[in-house]
Amino acid sequence: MHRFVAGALAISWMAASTARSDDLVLSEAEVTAQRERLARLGFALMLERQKRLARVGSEIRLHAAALCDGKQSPVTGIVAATSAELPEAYRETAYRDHAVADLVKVLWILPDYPAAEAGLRSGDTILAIDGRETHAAADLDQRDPTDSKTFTVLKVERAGEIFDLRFESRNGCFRPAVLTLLDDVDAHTEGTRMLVYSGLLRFAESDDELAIVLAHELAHELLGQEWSAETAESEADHLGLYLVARAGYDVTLAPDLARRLGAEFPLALEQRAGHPHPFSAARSVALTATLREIEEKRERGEPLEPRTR
Amino acid sequence: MRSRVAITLAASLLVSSAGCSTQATLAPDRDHPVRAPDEAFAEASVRLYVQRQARLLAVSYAIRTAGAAVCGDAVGPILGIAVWRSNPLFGRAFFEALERGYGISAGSLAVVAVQPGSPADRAGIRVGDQILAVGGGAVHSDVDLFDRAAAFEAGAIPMALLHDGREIHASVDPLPACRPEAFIEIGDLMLTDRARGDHFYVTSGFIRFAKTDDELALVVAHELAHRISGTQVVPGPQVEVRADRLGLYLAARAGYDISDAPAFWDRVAVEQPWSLSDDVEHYGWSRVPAHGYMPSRAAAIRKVVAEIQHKIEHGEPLLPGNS
Repeated sequence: MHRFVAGALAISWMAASTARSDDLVLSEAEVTAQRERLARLGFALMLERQKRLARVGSEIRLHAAALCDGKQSPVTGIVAATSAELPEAYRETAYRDHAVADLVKVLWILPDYPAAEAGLRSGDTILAIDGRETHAAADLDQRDPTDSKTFTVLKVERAGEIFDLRFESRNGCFRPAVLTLLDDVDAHTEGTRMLVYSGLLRFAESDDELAIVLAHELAHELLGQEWSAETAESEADHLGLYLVARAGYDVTLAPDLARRLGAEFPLALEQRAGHPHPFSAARSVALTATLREIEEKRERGEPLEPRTR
Repeated sequence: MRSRVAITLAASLLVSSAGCSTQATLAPDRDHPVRAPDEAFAEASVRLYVQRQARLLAVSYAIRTAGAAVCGDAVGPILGIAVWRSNPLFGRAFFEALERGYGISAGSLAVVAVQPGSPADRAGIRVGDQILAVGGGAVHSDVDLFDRAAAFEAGAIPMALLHDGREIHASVDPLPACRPEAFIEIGDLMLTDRARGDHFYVTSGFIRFAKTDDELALVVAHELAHRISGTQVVPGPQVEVRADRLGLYLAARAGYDISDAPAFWDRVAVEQPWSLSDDVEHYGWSRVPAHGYMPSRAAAIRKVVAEIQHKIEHGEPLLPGNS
């Protein structure tokens, strides 16, 4: 039954010597059609996740800006890409359906953000920001934090016309989070840039949950800590929850999210031998206190200022 | 600085949740204020693990027993149990909760799930039983246990177990099934092909991703089909297509609804751009298989689903191969 018929039913993309008489015959055309269909679906999902990350990440960064002197970068609310920044699988569909090529192509802009209000549109090509040429979407986040200009100028190309768009600058903490297309439930920071994995976006079901995760990570970066120390965790708990609350997301979902994460990854919680046990009465008390503190400040209409060291 | 947000967040915030719900019991116990949140986390983790073991067992048991006729030489007696697989990375709190909840000690080879109606169930084997010997020989690991059971050819399989602290003997009736056993591997990557010998693994992340048992059946049947076909093959799209074809037949024979298979594997494909095209440049990390097999699979899955549905409508036997 497992007779080898070299070449007879071989399909162009497979090694002829491994073909079997009972193998399905697939034409190159139908495989190509599936590749294009899946790439379109995959690109659409990636874009949805980038939009979500931009929406939640921008709000967290903006509302944390006051706590983040000297570590700020622009919050543009622009989701853009160049071909080189995409996985190979999506380049063709990105080019065909969205004209993404070598230059920075705008894919989406957060509504109500100054760039959108100034008239920037999906499909526009950004050639320069504040006089500097842009070669990658990441170039939009680069700015000298001491730059005191209060507006941003984009050099934009639309339908063959080149013009400047000017809008109010906003600054936020660190640089925008970047979507990493791997299915781990994970996020980490490289330099001042947070990498958020697809798997985490899938796990954090609501924007509130995503905000809790992003804020916790940002808090660690703000405090300049290694995450393993117990005092560092308490401080990051405290600051992170404040960042969530300041951005208007629901802090009360944190316990349930944590319960789900903890149940999924028992090994991750325990594998840091020699470090303080992640659970402690002190931290439990501190965290509960932070949730209560935030609630009380809201009731009294006080500003949501975390305690500083 | 590299910090793992999922881990630290869980570690930091879980205490508050458990603390809130158990405050009444926490407050008076000044000597052990930390225990309750710790235990609550570990118990939730153990519960999820055991639930998933039982779910994987139910699905793989159905597929393996219904598939005996199409598994070729890879047929042997099935027990119908899942066993605890010790892993130091679970951690102390998890082990303690396992012992509290199920009477299973971390170092033992114990039953964590029994499939109702299975040979093991009919022989009286229960969750928490510790397995000492199978087929007359002592067993030292889960793989060892299933290998011994599968290789036993002389009628009912004798087993020695520790039940509530005393040794008992069970005689398990042989029921033929596809031989490869399914195990859980804790991990969030949607990888399954961590086969060891005759067995295969499904990650906890993939079990979470498969929302229904019909979906989980597609994953289990695909991996089972790989094991049945053997490992001595050059990887390539045709190997995946063969596993899809046999796998879909296996799932359908077990009564699972395969009509959503195209949509399910689409959901998997879009989570893994490297499954659409060879992209070593972008995903050239050793842990990511940089191969673009999914378009071929998507085309094949649609054809095979149509083929099987045609056979079901016409009352034809669900046998793969040329028809």
